[in-house]
Amino acid sequence: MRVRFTLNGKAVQVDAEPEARLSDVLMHHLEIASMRQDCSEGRCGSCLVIFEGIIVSSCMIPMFRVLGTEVVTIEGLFGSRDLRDIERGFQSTGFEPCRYCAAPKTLLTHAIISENTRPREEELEVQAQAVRCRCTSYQHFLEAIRNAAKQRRSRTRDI
Amino acid sequence: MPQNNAGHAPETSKRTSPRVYTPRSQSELLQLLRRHPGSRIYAGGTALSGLEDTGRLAIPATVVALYGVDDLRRIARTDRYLEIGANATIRAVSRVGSNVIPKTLYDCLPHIVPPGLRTIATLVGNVCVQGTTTTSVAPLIALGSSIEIRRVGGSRWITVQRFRSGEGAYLQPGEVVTRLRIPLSPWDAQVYRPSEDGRISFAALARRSKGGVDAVRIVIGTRLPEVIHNRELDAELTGRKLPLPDRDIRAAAERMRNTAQAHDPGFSSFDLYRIERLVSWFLRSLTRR
Repeated sequence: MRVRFTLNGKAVQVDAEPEARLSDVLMHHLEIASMRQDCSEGRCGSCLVIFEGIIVSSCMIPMFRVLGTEVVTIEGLFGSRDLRDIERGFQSTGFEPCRYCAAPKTLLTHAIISENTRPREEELEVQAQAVRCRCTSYQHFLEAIRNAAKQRRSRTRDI
Repeated sequence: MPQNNAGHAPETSKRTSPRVYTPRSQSELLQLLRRHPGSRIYAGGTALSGLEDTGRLAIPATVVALYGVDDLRRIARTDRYLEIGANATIRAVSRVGSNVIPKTLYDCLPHIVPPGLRTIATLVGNVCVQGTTTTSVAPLIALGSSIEIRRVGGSRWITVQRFRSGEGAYLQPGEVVTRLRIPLSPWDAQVYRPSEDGRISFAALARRSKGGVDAVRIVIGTRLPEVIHNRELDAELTGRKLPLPDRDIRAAAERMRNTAQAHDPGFSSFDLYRIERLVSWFLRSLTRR
């Protein structure tokens, strides 16, 4: 099956089985360097992407679902001000995720603060659990997201 | 390609690739299900974690996907009910807020699927999936929820308990669950406690009046499709004066333990101990409130 969709702002098409996982296609067909897959059950969060504007584990998205949609990986943020906000927020907290989870944690932070620069604590605490890698503490990650949100607010003058 | 706007053209590919249909309206959905009665319904797709040897998702041969039917995303509230469409995601449901959603259900929402899947998994899908640990079923049954089942030319409402118990009430070919209706009755005490290992989930509700218990519901979800719900015990506890005597609490907890043991002989002694402790903890908490 030929699947056409938008990946990081560019139109792509790929031949894939309808039941193939989006994460597999991104890794092996489209060679997205940041993409990783661990549990294949949507638990670990290492394969997070922004799919149709929402953050989701791409290992649970079959390719037939991807047709005509928009997918964003961390590569889609490279060089953007949005990414700079997050990096500054992380740096100001001293938050340094490992190489394995840096991409999904950054993308998750982007999804959270893009939706709401003042995320509700209750929701933040649930959403931040989407990446299971414990190279950093959970509280530290929450603090990093809050600081990234502050950076985004100050840039967009949403003070 | 199957995913065209018309939603009629099936997948034409080699081997056993699934045929996927994407209806855009409820009427189109029902027509498709009538024409393809053996097809599986795809809502969030998070129950497809079973892998085939090749690493592909285990998609059935014919799939009718709900994600194009916008009507089914609707969440509506009336004075008496909360109605949730079959395509409403768990995140969308949780955003309705803890002031509207009954506490026992609200507390259970984060436990249904991992956080990375809350944006696609649906609450109705969780009710419909058989044979897995279904975390939302116990609170929904305790709350007295019902589901709407539709087919071409008709619809019916049945309780979630009856649907899960399989008393001839599972979906017939050509049918689909379209809505979940949750009564918004006031409860004075609502709790939800999942076990760490996901083997059991405990939901309990109580209403008090004039120093007594006006109504009680205690439901335990298990790995089996059915839940443990001893209606006789609920009825016996109803109308009792508070505080409940310690002897009665112990007797009620033991009865629930025996019910659980009869329901699923595969329970470990630790599971039974946990059930007994949860019931006695809940009943004691009524006294303390």
